[in-house]
Amino acid sequence: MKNSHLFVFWLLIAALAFATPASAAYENDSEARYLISQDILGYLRNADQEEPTINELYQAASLYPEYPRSINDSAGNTFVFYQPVKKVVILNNNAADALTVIGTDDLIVGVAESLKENSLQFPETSTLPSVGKWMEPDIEAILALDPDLVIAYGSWPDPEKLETHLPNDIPVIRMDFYKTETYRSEMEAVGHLFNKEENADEYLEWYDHYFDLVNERIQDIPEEERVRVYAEAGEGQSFGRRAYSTGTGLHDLLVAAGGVNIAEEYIDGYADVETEWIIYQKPESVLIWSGKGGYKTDERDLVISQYNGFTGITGSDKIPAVSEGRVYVITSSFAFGSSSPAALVQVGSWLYPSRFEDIDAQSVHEQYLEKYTQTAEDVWDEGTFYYPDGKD
Amino acid sequence: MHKKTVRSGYIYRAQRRLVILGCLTILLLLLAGVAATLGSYPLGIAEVYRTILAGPGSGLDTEIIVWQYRLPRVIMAILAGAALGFAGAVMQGILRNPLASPFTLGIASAASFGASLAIVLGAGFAGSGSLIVGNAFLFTLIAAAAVYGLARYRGISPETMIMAGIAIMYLFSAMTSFLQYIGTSEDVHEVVFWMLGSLGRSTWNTVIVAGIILCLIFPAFMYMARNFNTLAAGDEAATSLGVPVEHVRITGMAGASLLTAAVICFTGTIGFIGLVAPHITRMVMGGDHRYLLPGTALMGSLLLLGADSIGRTIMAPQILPVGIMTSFLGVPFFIYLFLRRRRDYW
Repeated sequence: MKNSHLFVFWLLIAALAFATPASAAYENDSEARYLISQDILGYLRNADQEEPTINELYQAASLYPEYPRSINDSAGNTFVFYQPVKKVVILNNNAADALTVIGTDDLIVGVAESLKENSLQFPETSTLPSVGKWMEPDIEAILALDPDLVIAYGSWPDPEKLETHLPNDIPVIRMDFYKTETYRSEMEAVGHLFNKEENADEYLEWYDHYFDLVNERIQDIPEEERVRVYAEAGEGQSFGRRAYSTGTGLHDLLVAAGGVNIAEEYIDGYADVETEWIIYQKPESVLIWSGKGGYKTDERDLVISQYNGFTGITGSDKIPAVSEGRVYVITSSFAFGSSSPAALVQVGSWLYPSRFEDIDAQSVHEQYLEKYTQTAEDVWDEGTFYYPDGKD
Repeated sequence: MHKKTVRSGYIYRAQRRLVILGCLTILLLLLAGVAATLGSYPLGIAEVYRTILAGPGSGLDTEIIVWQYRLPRVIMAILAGAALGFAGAVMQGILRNPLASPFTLGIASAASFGASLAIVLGAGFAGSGSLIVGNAFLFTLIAAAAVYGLARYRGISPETMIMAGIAIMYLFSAMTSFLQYIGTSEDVHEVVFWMLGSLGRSTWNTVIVAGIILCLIFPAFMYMARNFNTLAAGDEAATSLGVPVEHVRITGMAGASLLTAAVICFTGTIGFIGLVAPHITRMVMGGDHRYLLPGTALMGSLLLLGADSIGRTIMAPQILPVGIMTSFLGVPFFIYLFLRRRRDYW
């Protein structure tokens, strides 16, 4: 064994030993012990290994027991961090939302071009340098910012456009922050990664509270009495009516709110459908997803035109949802991501108003905006998060 | 004796072609009759025809489904297929090139660019409600004018027009790609779907516009059919026989472009029909444009209506884009005919 190996070995053993009494107070203690022990053994077995380097081990020892810490991303990869992350590049706008919620948005140093258009939702983050499109990142722009970490969507961009071109010391974490099935674990992971467990836990408590509340209100509704909902993305400029079904966020939202998607048995994902099929299905409620509006104050007309686009179709008077005034547009910046509990309460109160009489869905949303975003006080009044919203 | 044989051979071929045209017409009427009964709203055949016979405004519950959704779609498929096939046959004839079509000459690329401009930047020449339609229509005509201008600079000939068309096609394709690059993901999605084509937005208004343009251009081209035939012998031969070659070529291109524009501005770029319908028809009934042009129109209608009917029923209530279905349906048929032909049909 070389002298340098012996030095590392004894250094780390000493660090672990001396830190033990104090470490009891740290939640990360057992994980850090495990990780660092693994690394020491790995290093002693193979001193030429690329990761972790002797420097990383040295730094980890000095930061023990807070570091190292590991997280799993939604693509199934495990990442070990030997020191705090100080600079993050965001290709996923929902990740910027998540980091704002846990209070680490100040670590973001670069963003995807699309985020820069959301100055009302991200007043400060949107002023940061662009690193290209979220699907086509500019590798040189990322390297110029020298980040410790890049956060991208689970499936986009293709690794060949990102990971392949980045050095090993800039890991790419794949997290979506909009899918219900992974949202909780992703929030917990970033809370742990950025040493903001308390903030993440506090938010998740709020998150769980409203998910549980809606579930309690709708769980005893028999299947045959559940509201039959047609979910769509509105009529595109180049395609017909596009129905949304299983595997989409809109479907998950309406099912969580107690609705039954009429397209569920016919479509997986989304597909164009004939208008005559919608008329035949006679949905009791219609939920239209909109990529417009939200925090953008100048897109209210576009949201309203989506609403009118459905209620004005030929034969709409034969659709119960239209004749009974139960057509709703919900924007993506409200429906998905960290505001999804507020959206769930809203959709629940649309579908089963009598079961949510005592809950003011709007105030839940306003509470979210005030507590978990950096937006202006009048953002609810200025934006269009859903429609009809009683503003006109 | 010989003269008599030639004459009887000609009459036989003409009669055979008329029979084929009659068969294609009957086939198209039958297909249209069946297509009107297909859809996601379960209606019986008798119910559909009772509604059709009762006419619009009958107050029947099924009136909206049949009169507002199915019939405009079926008729638009017939008109669009006819127009695209017709335009392709004219372009192939006047340019004496089997690969000429509204797509290979940049016309459709220009329409795609116009639509992309409206979708991505919201810019164009029409009001916001018809921005895509207006842009697609105008850029189609701009491309045709550009092809003409470039070709005229070098002297109008099939080669110069094709070269100019290819240049225009690449130019507009590159500009469309650029717009897709700078557009949002929703914009790109819209552009891609526009380029796949759809008959889902057919209304009586779109049917009337496309129908009027087709009705104006069809007789004019039928009148010019003999000139198209003469062009096949080459420019010199045609000129010596008194055909105003340049005039025929320019008029043909302008008319074919207008026909294409009148359709794809409403439907998006439905590919394949304009290229293959003329070839299939030529294989079946020869290259005489007096028969080829109406035959191609019928063949184009059959292909498009068949493709759309399958596309909206095979996975109902999902609709498969008609641009994909035309290739799925037409290519095997085309290959079959191509392999069975023993002599060069062109």
